[in-house]
Amino acid sequence: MDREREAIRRQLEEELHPLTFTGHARVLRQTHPPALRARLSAFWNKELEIPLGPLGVAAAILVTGAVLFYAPHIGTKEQQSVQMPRQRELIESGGNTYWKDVYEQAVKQHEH
Amino acid sequence: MNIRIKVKHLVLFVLLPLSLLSVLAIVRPSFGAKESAEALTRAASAAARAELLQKLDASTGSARMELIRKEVIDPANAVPAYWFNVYAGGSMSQVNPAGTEAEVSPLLPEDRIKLLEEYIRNGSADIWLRNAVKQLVYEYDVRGNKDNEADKAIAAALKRFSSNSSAARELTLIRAERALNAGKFKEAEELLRQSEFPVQYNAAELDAKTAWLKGRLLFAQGKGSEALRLVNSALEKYRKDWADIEAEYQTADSSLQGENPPATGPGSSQDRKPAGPEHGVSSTEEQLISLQTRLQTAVAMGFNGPATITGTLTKSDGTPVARAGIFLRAESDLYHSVYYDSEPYQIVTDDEGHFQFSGVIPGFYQIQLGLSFEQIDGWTWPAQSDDWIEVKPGDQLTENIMLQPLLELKSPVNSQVLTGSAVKFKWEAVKEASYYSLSTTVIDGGGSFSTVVRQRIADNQVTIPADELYNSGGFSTGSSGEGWQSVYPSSLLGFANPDSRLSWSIDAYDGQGHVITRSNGYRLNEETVGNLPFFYLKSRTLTAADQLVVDRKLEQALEAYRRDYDANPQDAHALKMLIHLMLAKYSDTKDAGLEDEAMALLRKLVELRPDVNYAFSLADYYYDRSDWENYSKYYAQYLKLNGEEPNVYGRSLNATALMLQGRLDEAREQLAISMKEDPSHRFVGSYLAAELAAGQPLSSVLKLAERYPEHMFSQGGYTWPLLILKLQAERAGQPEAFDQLLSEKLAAYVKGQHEALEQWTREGNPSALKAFIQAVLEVG
Repeated sequence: MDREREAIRRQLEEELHPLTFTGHARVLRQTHPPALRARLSAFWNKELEIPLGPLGVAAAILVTGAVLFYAPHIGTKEQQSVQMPRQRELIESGGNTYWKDVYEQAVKQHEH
Repeated sequence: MNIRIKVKHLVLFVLLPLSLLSVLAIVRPSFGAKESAEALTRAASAAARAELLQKLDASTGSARMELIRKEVIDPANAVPAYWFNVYAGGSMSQVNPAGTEAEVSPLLPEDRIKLLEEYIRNGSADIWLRNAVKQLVYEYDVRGNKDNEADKAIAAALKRFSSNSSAARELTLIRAERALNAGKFKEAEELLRQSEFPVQYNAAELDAKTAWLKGRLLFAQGKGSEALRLVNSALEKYRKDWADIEAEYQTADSSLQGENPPATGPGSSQDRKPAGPEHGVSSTEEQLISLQTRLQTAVAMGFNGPATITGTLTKSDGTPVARAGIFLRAESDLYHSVYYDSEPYQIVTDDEGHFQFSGVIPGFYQIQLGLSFEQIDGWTWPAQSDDWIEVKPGDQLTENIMLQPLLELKSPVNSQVLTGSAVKFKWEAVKEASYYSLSTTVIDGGGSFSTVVRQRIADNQVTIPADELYNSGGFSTGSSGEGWQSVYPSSLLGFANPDSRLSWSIDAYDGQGHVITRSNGYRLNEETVGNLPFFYLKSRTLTAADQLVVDRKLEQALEAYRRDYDANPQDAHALKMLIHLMLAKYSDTKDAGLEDEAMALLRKLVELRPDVNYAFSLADYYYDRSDWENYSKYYAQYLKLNGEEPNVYGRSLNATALMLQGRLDEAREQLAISMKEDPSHRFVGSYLAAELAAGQPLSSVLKLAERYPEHMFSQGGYTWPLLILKLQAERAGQPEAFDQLLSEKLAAYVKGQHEALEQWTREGNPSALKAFIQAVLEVG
């Protein structure tokens, strides 16, 4: 009797040999769901693998764009702060007194 | 190649900074521009200051003094003390844009004070030392002049000069002037005594300055007549001295030029030549003349003591305005602009915005402010030309001055194009405003033409029909003065030209009729520019005749309008333009027939298009012709169209009309109201004459003359009181004969016999009565 059971067990083991139970984690997750905090923490500490090539290209494009966009502004600002006091001209228009450059900018905004 | 990164590190070090940056860039696109520009300027100026201080620290001895002279005293001397970007006052305003060209020193006031103090201790005793003293004194005044540190500094500097030098005398005079202005008359007297020593250079200027101070001091000590005598003779001597010097210059050869005596003011020391006959009047002479005028009036009015005026200059939010110039200017001096550093009553506000004047000669004054562009930008001082300070002997007056934020216009603005039959104006409501007035300006290629369209608007918005805008300005015209054909199209067509750019402005008034604030002023940066006050009114198109006006073919336009009106007698526009052109032509040719024709047409126009200006023009026309029936008709219509209340001019004109019709009591009643309403008291002469004609005694008429000063003649606010005082003196000799002559002449005046009276005033010996009647005839 014992020998027969032993034989069946061996046969079963032999037949099930290629199969392994990998569902521990899933079963555990279902029976003992983790707390939100733990999940967040897991995500927070998750490691990403990012290919450096595309990232480098994207960064280069961004930096170049920013430099091209701001550089002319920075340049003129410095110049203005030095030159404006000398070149400015007062004008009277519509009963008000304006600096010509400020006035012309305002007019440009509204005139059709 | 890959990199491994935890999510938390990615968020903390990459995504968060990136998103912060982009939020800043989106929310405040100007953030970068503005703040960094200001920060840059600030940083640049801080760097320049550090560099300059380092340079100064590195040097010692005479090289250091030379450096202070070059870097501190010299640049500040390029602009005189009491020099400001903007001078603002009720009667005058003035801009000095040149100030933007001046070098702005990177040094802070405390740096300057330290360096100037050092230079005064160690610099060589020359003209630069004197300038350094003046600059230091100015800085001390700005920081409040604690323990009279300014006077102590001058006294210390005096020891550096030889005791009989011209500079020593000049500095002593500055001390005396400061003592006088502070009300320390004993000290001023003592200092003036100390200053009386002969000097080699600049004697004429210093003598004149001494007399100018002595005259003021004598008056302050209650010796008005003595002061006047002294100033009279000093003025004579000064003119003679310069005539002598001028003669010497003309005869002597050019070797004399090196001894060109320095003048008193720092502004005049470098570039001004000594004033001789051909150079006009020097500022010293102007000062003496001004003092003479004020003393003459004060002595004639029997004023015998000085007054004090104190106050603070703040913005309406309570912020004190420091380093601003306060100029107390006498009525007789208002005709010219503020003199740099040689005004009799000038002071710079301290950190609390405080100012004080002592030893002020009684009279009528106005305050003018000296401000920087930064101080006035977006703000206004709503002073008016009728805002007089009447200073009486012994007065201790407080005059607090408050700058107000400019009010903002809401619509129509920013060159909006309107096409409706009415314009709805809207502006920012002003707290405490009782009413507003709306002015407009028509701008076209040939000039601009301004007019007050509505007064006493209770709300902060008003809808004005286009027709009313077309009529605004009545029949006044502006021209370049070359015949009637040069009349500006803007003044003829006004709002009726759809191509003209229009601008408008608002003044806000309190219950007493004082301006609280206005929309017009200095708008110097992006925030204060606000809405531009322009719009276009394109509700109508130009007719062929209008086009002729635009093309400045006025004679042809006149005929074209005549044809248009003949073809359609209901064409109010053609009729209005026809009359306007005829009156413009009349004002040049004085062809009375033309005026009569225009007025006949105006009677038709006022039926077609009842307008307050038209009715008043007709009333005025019939007033001049003493046609009382027609006058009354159109004055009544004017009243009706004006809401049953006349304006101040209308009331006064009607009062005179009543007087000329023999309705003296009604006239007196109207004139009494007019005096209270009209701050210019333009018709006070008629009022005084009416009161005298009604039998009022000279003494009570004198009180009226004093209560309602008129500021139009040479003697200003005291013109009428002085005329009455002279009548009293003339009467004292022969009261009965005087009274009879007076009532006879006044009866003639009331009856309108003006030409006969005019002739009488010019015949025979002049008398006080003739002078009075002459002045009364000129009223209006």
